[in-house]
Amino acid sequence: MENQHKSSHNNPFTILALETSHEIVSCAVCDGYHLLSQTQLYSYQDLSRRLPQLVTETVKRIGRSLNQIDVIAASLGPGSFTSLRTGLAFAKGLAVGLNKPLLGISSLDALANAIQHLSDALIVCLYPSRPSRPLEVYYARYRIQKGEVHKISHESCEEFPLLLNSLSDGHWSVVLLVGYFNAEIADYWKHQTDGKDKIFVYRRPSAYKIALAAVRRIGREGLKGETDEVTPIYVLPAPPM
Amino acid sequence: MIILGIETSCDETAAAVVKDGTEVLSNVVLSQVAVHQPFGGIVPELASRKQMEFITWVVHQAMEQAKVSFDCLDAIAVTYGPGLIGSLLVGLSFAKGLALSTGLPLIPVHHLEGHLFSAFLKQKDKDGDGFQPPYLCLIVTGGHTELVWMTRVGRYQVLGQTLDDAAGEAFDKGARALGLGFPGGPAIEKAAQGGDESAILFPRATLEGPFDFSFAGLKTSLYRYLKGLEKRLERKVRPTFADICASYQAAIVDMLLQPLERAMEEKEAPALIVVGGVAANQSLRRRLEDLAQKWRARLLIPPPYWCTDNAAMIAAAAFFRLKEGLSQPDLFADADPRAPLPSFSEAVSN
Repeated sequence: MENQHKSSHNNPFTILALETSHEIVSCAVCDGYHLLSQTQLYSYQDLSRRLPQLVTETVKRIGRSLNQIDVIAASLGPGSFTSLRTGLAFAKGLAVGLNKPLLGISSLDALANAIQHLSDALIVCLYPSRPSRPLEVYYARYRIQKGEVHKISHESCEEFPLLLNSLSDGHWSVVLLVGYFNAEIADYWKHQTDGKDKIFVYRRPSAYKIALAAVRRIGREGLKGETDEVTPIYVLPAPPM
Repeated sequence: MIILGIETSCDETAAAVVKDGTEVLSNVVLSQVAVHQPFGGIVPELASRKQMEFITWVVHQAMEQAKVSFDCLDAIAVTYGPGLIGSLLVGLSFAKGLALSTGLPLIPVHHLEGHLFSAFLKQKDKDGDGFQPPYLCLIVTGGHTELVWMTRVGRYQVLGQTLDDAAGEAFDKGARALGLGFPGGPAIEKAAQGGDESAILFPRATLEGPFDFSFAGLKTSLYRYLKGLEKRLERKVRPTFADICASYQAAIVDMLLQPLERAMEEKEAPALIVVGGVAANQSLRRRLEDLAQKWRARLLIPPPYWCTDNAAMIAAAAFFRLKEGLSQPDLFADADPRAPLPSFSEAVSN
């Protein structure tokens, strides 16, 4: 394991990563952990139109071409269904055309992976889910021990107050909330009285974080691409089921 | 010229490789009918999710069956609309990623224009018609019913269209009311076998536009009849279930034929193209053959497997558009769920 990890350090894979789970869409190119180039844009209902240029610019700016990419990494969300599908379908097309493996990365995993400098803590990664339910969040729980992040629950969906409630009866010395919020959640967080022992770190998932999570996974498991059927993490069922 | 076509506008995931717009090297269609059957219609979010799962496999299959690699291709054609936005975006985004990474030009194609060119795909047993416009075209699918006058590639005059439901929709909704499965067309056709078409006189709407269609009234009339409210429509004592199905089907076919016949007369059309899923209906096909014979017109109806949504027709349309210089490679195209037929604007001469 350790050797594989090192070998990916010495001769790193070049990774093209895409993050499309929220409206600030980004694309990054990395040599292993080393970020070479990242571009982001604000997209509302025009992602499919703007993706090709976003990718082309990110790659060309550092004088590289798509043929030099070894791995494609794409966010699987959770997040906006259509936006995730647009990004993932585009990534699938890229991977097929380049004949390179595609890695699908949970955006919540990507957030958790970016927290390293703690010894023993519960990390809850979360962000708002649907505009129609302003207090509802997608979340997943992680445990951090000696700098290693372990996932302890899958991606789920919950009202923010209920989620906070469920965190207060634990035995954790440090509880870290990582993610971003909307006005309603910020308001609730500001006015609630208990749970002040928790820390809220404002972070958005980015393509670079997706790439980092991909590098870690390759270090841990070797380079194994997803199957053709890989889909976003929807969490919520398709209506009307 | 070899083109890879990709089509994901509704509930079919399809890819095909077509040579010179007529010779189908491979045609892979993965239908989700079984997924949507329990709901009696297509669930859009579910359709998009399935498209996402199938798209890579379907494209690989099409390339493998055609025995070509991406180096052999000249272009990638993909449906940009109309259709379900979630489904469209999967195919369009996939095609963009593929085009960007292979350096192939991406040609966005209108779904209905694709249907029109399914009439020119070569079949095993007979040669195609060649391409000798003008054509009077009837497009009848689950989402569209349009009467189009085509004078050349890319030049389409929409003579009339449905004011409410599409013909395929009338079949689907009728089938649901009759307790038959989804999709409704084949279900009603099967149930109507041996039935008496004249047992019940369902109303045929008379519309202001001579070439327009309407099926909502007919559908309501069936609902009311099934509730026992419209006994007066019966022309026969105690009609059987097959009689009801046959009468309903006959009414839909009549509604399609009337504007078509008026258009044949006005345009003196030398040839008639009928495409779309409903064109697979045998009863409609027989009536169309009679009509074509009466007006001494050539009749082009693709075989049933090319009537339903497929990607070969998308590749074919892209070929004809490229040949005429009508399409430019476009990586920036957006999915458009309500895209109108792309007719270039010359003064329409009547």
